[in-house]
Amino acid sequence: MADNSKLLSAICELVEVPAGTLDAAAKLDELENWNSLSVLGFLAYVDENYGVALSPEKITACKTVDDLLNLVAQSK
Amino acid sequence: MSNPLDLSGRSVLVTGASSGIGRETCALLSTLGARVVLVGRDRARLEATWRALTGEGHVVEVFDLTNLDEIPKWLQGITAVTGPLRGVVHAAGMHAAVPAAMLTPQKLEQVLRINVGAAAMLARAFRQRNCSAPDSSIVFVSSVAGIAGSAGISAYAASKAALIGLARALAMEFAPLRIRVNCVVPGWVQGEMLERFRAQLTPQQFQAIEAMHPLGIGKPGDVANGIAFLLADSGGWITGSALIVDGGYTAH
Repeated sequence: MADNSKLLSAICELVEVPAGTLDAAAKLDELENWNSLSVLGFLAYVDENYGVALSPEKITACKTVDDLLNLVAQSK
Repeated sequence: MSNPLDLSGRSVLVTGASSGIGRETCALLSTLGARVVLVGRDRARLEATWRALTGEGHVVEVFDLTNLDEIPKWLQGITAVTGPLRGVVHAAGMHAAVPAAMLTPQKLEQVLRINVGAAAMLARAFRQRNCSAPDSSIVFVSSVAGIAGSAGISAYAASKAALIGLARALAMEFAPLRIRVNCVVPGWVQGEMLERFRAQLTPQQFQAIEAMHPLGIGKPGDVANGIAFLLADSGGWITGSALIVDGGYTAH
C-alpha cells in the first residue's frame, strides 16, 4: 500500500535507520532509538499528515512496526 | 489611597483573548478598570470572553494574526475608533510537541509566525503615531520553555526564547517613546493548551511535567496577575525584563 510506505519511511526517520531497512515485523523494543520521544514524534507525524490524533497509550501498546501501521489504518 | 494597578480609562489590546491566559487577562484588566480590545479568530468564543468582562466599552476584534503584513494597518483601524492604546498583551500563540527528528520547516515557520512574528509586528504597529499613548506598555507571553530545556518542543522553545530577546531589543528602541516592553514567563497553567499537550503524553510524561512545578500546575489568573503588574503603573520603571511566574519551575 503506497500510504504505508510513506508511513514506514517516516518511522525509519524517527528511529534513525536507513529508509527501506525496516521490516513491518520488526519489534519496537529491539530498535535502539524507539523511546518515549519517538512516541511523541510518531503522534505528531500522524496528526500532521493524516489528521488523526492517536493516544500515546495506544502507541506504547504497539509491539511491532506492523502494529503501528495497523493502529494508524484503524484510526483513519 | 491610589492603586498602582488601576487601569481606569486606559485601553489595552489583548491577543489570544478567547482562551487560557489571554481570556483571564481580559477579565482581570476589566476589573482594574481597563477598556479591553479582545483579539482572536473565533467571534463566538471572543464574545463569550466579552460577556464575562466587568465594565463597559470593551471591543471584540476578529482577526487572524498570521496575516503579519496587515497588522499595522489593522491596528490603525482599531485605534481610529478606540483612541490610542496604553497597552498590548500578546497572549496568542501555539504549542508544538514535535521532536527534532520529525520537525519540518513548515511547522517551524507556523510556530514562529504566530508566536514571534505577530509579536514583532504588533510592536511595530503599536509604535505608529496615534496607535499608542505615551507611558504605555507591551507585554509578550513567553514561557519557561524558552529558558529551561525540555525534549520534544524545540520549535516552541525557540519561539518563546525569541520573545525575551525581542522584548529586550524593543525596550531599548522604544524607551525614548516612553513605551515599556516586557515578557511574562509562565510555567504550565490549567487550560486548553495543557489539555492538548496532556493528550500527547503518557501519564508518566505528564507527571514529570507536573513535578517540575513545586507549587503545582498554575492557573491562567496567576499569569494574568503578572501581566497586569507589568502593564499598570506598578511596572512603571520596568522595561526589557522577563518576569518569571512559574510555580518554581525554573528554581530547580
